[in-house]
Amino acid sequence: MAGLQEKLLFIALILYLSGAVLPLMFRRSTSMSLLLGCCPGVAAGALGLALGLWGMLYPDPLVINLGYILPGVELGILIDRLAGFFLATISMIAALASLYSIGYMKMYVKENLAWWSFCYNLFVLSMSLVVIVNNTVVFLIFWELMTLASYFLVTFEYRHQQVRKAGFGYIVMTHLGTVFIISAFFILSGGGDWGFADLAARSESLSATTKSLVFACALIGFGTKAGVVPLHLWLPSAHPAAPSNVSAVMSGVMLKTAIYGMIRVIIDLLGPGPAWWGGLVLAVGIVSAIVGVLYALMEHDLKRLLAFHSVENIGIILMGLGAGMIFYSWSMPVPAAIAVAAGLFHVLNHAIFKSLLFLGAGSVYYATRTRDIEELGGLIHKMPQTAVLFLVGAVSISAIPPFNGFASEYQIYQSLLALSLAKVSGFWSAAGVLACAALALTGALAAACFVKAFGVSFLARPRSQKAAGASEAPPVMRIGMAPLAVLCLALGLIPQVVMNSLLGVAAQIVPGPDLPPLPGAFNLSLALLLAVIIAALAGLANLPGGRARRTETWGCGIVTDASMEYTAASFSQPVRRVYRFILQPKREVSTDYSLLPYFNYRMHFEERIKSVIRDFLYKPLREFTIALSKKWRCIQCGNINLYLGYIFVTLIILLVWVR
Amino acid sequence: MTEVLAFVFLMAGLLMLSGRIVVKNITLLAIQSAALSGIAFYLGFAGSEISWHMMFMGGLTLAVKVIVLPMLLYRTAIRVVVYREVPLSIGMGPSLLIGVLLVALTYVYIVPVLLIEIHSQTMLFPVALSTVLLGCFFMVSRRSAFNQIIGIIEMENGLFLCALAVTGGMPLIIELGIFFDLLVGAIVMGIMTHKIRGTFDTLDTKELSRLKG
Amino acid sequence: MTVNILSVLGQMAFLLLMAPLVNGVIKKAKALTQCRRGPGILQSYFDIVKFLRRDPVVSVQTSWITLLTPLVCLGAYLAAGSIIPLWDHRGIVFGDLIAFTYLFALARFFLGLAGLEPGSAFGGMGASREMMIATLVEPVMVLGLFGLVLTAGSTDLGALAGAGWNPAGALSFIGLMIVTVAETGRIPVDNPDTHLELTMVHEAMLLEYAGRQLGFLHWAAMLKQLVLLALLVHLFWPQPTGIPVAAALGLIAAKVTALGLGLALTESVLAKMRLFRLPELMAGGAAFCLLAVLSNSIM
Repeated sequence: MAGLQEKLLFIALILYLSGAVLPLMFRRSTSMSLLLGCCPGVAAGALGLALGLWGMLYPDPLVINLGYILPGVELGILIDRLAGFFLATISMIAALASLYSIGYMKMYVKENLAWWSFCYNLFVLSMSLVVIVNNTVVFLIFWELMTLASYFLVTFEYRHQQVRKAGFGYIVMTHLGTVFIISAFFILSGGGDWGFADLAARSESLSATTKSLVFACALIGFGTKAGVVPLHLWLPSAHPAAPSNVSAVMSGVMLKTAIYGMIRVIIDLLGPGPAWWGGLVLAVGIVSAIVGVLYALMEHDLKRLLAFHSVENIGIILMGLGAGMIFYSWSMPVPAAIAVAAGLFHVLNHAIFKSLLFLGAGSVYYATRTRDIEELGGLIHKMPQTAVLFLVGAVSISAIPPFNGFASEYQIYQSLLALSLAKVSGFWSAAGVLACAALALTGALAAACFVKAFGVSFLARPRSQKAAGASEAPPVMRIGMAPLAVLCLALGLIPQVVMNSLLGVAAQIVPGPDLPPLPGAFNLSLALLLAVIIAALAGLANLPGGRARRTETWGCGIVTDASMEYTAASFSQPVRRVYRFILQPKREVSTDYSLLPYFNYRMHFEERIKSVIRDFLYKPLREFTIALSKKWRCIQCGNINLYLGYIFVTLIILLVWVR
Repeated sequence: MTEVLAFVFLMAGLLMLSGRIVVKNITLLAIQSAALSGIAFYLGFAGSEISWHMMFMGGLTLAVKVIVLPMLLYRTAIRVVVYREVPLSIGMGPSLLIGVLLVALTYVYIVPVLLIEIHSQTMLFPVALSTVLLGCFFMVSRRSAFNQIIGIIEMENGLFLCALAVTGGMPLIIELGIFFDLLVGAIVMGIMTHKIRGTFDTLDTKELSRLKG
Repeated sequence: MTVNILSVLGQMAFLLLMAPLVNGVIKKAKALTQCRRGPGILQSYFDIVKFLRRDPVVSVQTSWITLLTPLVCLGAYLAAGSIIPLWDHRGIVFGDLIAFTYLFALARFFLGLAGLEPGSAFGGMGASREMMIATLVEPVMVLGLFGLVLTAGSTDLGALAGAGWNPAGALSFIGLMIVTVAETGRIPVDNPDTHLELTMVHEAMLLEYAGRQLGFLHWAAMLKQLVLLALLVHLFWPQPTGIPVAAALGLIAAKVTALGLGLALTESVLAKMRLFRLPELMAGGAAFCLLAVLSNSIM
């Protein structure tokens, strides 16, 4: 059977590569190169999904050697359950995003679509390979390829200065992260073998301090890519800069490769560590979740808002993983596996609803050419189907039953509570409940944010000509989004099916006794109950004479127009005010009047929030670095001979030292 | 036989330090490279059976470093009309003295220890190592962009000899890569000297320090 | 199974019918403490019947969301109410505290959207404030409820019966009482009696509703109040087991009404708070819940 899987993998690779190369050959015709770039992506994604599910559900890992890329470094493929899960997630989202792109990228006919196809397919290919290779060297190679390809996708609209700036921030931050990842691998391997299996064997002989060092490096390195607070600064500017279909893939699954790296290195390779590791991951998760969602609530750019929600959801995922790590260090494999599985479940769910939302935002951008929700409004009448799809995503991300966001947050709640109920110490008992409260706060803020996002952009009157002239997105874009929406509901209705197979994945990483399958969750019956009640009520509401009559909205006697609607800024104002200790809003109000202050004819209101992390963490760091560099500058005189002299002296010193 | 060639190799390197005239340095470089290629040929023949790898390396050295590169450099030198060196950053006398000291340092101080470690009995290794140092020092002591490319080729000659002496040559793919690098480097340097001259009307790299921010 | 379904249906019917009565009692009690005669305790039934018989009128800006929201709200509260094991601790189909909490979020989400939909400033303001208050209330609610979970050891509502019947529970009770006041939109958080004032929250979102839809929403609000009170009764004032259903129903009705009278009393003696002083109130609630959590986790 392994032969078949090998063939599948091979075909998928060929498809991705042809999707990358063929458009370059046919770049004269934009529609041709778009089709040639997207269609192989869809097919390869489907193959990858099949392969990933296979690897996830079958206990025996699939090992394939695709040859040597450097002497002693083989391109070895290892699809175990963990890799299979991530491969399946990545492939599924990438396939649907490719399908969506056929419609969406038509917006960019004047740009170089062949170049886009090349980068996009290479990006998806490297993402898929990153999670299934069995060797750190190859992992790093594809990790870098993934970063570079996504950099070029982010800077696709390079003519805008903002986009270039976002791309620069992205590449700098992620490369700083890569430094830490490489360090983690180096410390772990000690310069010996680079295979994951070798590293796992070696880690057992490492001292506790060394292990903690590896843990810290991996957390910082992968945390940068995942966008945890305070390393998230690149994320909210880079994701919106890319075209929406790319943002969907980046936010939906690229961040998950970092989660994969964390699980692989910290839990799988290092094994159980001290409890403070898990505690730290949990704390980082909580801070990311709350800070991410608070800043999301302040955003009026639809895609920036979604990007901040990625920070939030990565935080929620880390809360599950952190709880799992704590259990692991207490040698409680069963709750550890459940917590890790809960984290993985949220990985899957976030991939689904975040891609759905980003694609929805893309459709809105396609129809209106604006991402500022203050300019939108009334789209539910113009784009009814997109509105439903976006609403499904919004409800899911707000963790509202019976959708999938609730299903995974429920599991994370249970894991955090289990942390309290384990009664290991008073500290952890209190910490578990407090983490639950933080999760509840996150959920409430997310719901507030999506009431704002959906309510302001899709409901009420159009706030600008752009929104008024919108029309429904092309069918291929809606078809690309529909499966995601269906999955949002399906995974919410039958979470125990997914959770039980994810428990198998988690059991591979956290070895322990066989896990009992989770009891059938209540979600299905809950949803049935809700559906029955609502249907009965709907019947009641539509009794004879129940037809709704329509009139104008009442505006205290004047005819209302769009300027009287609540804006996104005003919607978020109470939250801004209540959470001002984090957001630090600054308000400027100025009025112009000609005669008396009571008859002003123009009023200017401005309120902006401060990025506390930027101001109090990055700014001092930056200033310190610049000051230090200025001091060091004296050795940089600009004379080539002097530089050569430095090299020369170093050479001599090295030779003498070697002796 | 290798001893004689190695002597020529080392002397060419030392003499370069004393040369003020650019064209003369190019000739010395060609002579050094010729000695290197001779060593490679000799090692190829000297064994019990002919080592085609060595022969190929020798041929390649002959073609690239004895013929193509010196010609390229020579033509550039003629074009930008540099017969005499711009002022040195270290005087000629001291630089020769330092060169001799470097050779002594490798022979007396570094190599005896290293040789034991790498189990190499040949005398090629100290020659190679001192040539690397000489080349590096040559680059440090000359301000002309032109002489710096000569210095880097000299360093590379030393490294090449190192590889020959210690392991019998590097894998072919790496050798080819290095040759290609050198060729490109020489071409880039050629263009750059032209540009520097066009911009500053001199080959003195001191002018480049003005570009610093 | 059949018994289960029948029991759930019966509980729903009970809650639906009981909700206006409790509301009427609270209103009457409030009026009496304010030396007014007030409407009769059955007035809420008459109101609902009146609304249900009228044709709805909706704004031209609205879509299916406005029409769906009343049903979702009533449905969510009904579902939440039906999972509290009121008269028997026998295992029901599902009954989870987390699901209970999040059903309220479902209703709130749609109510917020419906507030924004007609495009009037009032609805938006109500929605905005409601969502902000929710961000304060939900963590406190979770903190208070999960503090009880620490004693009960499970989030199952059946296992949680009477989990607050201990000294630490008293602290949780105070915290959850504050949550209930906030959730039901009562003074000092919100004023259920105002209309068209800039202080209102919940009523502002309903402003564009009329007729049958409005009736549903009013009914939903009363139901929410009853469900929360019933939850408090279930957690802190457990029913004796093994009594006939009719007696259990009577007991529940009495207990809920007693708690409702407590609500009416607090509402009468307190003044409405400024919106932006709410964090202080909720911080107080959080402090009580936190103390309960700490005492539970250390013991």
